[in-house]
Amino acid sequence: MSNLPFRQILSDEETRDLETVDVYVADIEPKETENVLKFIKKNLPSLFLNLNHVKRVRKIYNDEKDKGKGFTLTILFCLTTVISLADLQALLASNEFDKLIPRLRVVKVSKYPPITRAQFDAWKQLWPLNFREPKKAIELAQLAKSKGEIPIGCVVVDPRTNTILAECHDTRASTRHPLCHSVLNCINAVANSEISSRQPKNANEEPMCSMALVHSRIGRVFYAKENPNSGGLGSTYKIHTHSSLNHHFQVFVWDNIVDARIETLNQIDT
Amino acid sequence: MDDEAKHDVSSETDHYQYMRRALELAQEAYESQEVPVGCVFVHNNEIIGFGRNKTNEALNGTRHAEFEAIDVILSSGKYTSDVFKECSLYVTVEPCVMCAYALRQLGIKQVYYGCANERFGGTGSVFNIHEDTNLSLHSQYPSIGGYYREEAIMLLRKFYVRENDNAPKPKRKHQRVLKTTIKPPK
Repeated sequence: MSNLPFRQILSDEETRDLETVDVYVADIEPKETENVLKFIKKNLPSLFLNLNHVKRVRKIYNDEKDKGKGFTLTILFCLTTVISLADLQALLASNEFDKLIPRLRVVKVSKYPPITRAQFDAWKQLWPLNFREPKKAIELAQLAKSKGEIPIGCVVVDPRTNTILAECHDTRASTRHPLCHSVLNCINAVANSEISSRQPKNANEEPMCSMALVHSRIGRVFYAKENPNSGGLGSTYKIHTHSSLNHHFQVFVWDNIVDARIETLNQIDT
Repeated sequence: MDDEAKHDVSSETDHYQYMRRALELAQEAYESQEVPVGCVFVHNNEIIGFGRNKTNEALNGTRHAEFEAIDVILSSGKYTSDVFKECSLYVTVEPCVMCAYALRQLGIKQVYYGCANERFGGTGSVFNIHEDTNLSLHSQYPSIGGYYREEAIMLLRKFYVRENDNAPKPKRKHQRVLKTTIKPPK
């Protein structure tokens, strides 16, 4: 979208600065890891809520350039808000982890999951984070092409949280199933994760997938390349606006934008 | 045997026999709180796959009877997708746009349906996906309705007169009565 003469208004989640929460951690020996993880799983199951973006264990090499010189492992127990230090010490003592007690300390970690690469790069300095960089639909199409698949990709996004619910490319070649289009693959992936599907998405459509999107009550569709042979959202039909259908949605196509990556993808027949 | 002769190995009696099986599947869908649509795929006078609507159970609006049956056939390991070129589909309700184009991509030989789908029928009622010449990538196929049409309509009416807790906004329908008069097809 950076080629457009517009500046995108990002969500607060994408632009916010680092906010932190306090957590208990302790340095551990590698051989202790398994038992400590078992202890956490057994005794602190619900205490890790809302911190799924934070990694459980941090590994810091003593010398980044010479990894043979050893490393320090640090394990994260839980938020300081859910248990007092005294209670955590008592819990450790009663589970024969006395030697961890003097090593307990409090550190700050990012309160929120990083949404952008910039946030990820800045916030992971505090403590390692999970981050899944979204694959754009076109990149998925390129990936498909490299695997010998028909080069079409699709991404389903929840616009309320700007999170990706599914990203799939066409798999008709490998599955030998003529209906495994990227859009249907995404719809199935979203349904299998049991999330109701009312999200914008990106792809190139034909009548089957256009109607599948009606059945899925999609919110908006963005596509990169028109499909004069069978396009259901503008080229051959306008299924998204058809008066007899019980659901309508908005459709956007990249206009006047020449993306070299699209030109490298063959004329697509869907 | 030439192509024409191959096309017509099923007699009119056979059509009704296959459609009866599709209706049983539609009834099963009804009893499972699903939109009552069922279908069978027939290859050389043998049912090689069947399905019924499963959208509520799958939480997936695309799990129509046809898609269920197609996946059964392709996952059986017995057939490649080429088999559909020699298959007839018997489905209690006219295929929707999605299924209509899916069938065209599969190269289905022939579709027989029970009642028309005036909301989003894809083979004649609202769209002509099965024979639109603008869709040039895949061959056209014939689609003929009217087999156990009234039975298919009554199943749908029974479903829609019943309160549906899976609807986005469930409606209270206790005052509705099941209509039994059926107008002739358009």
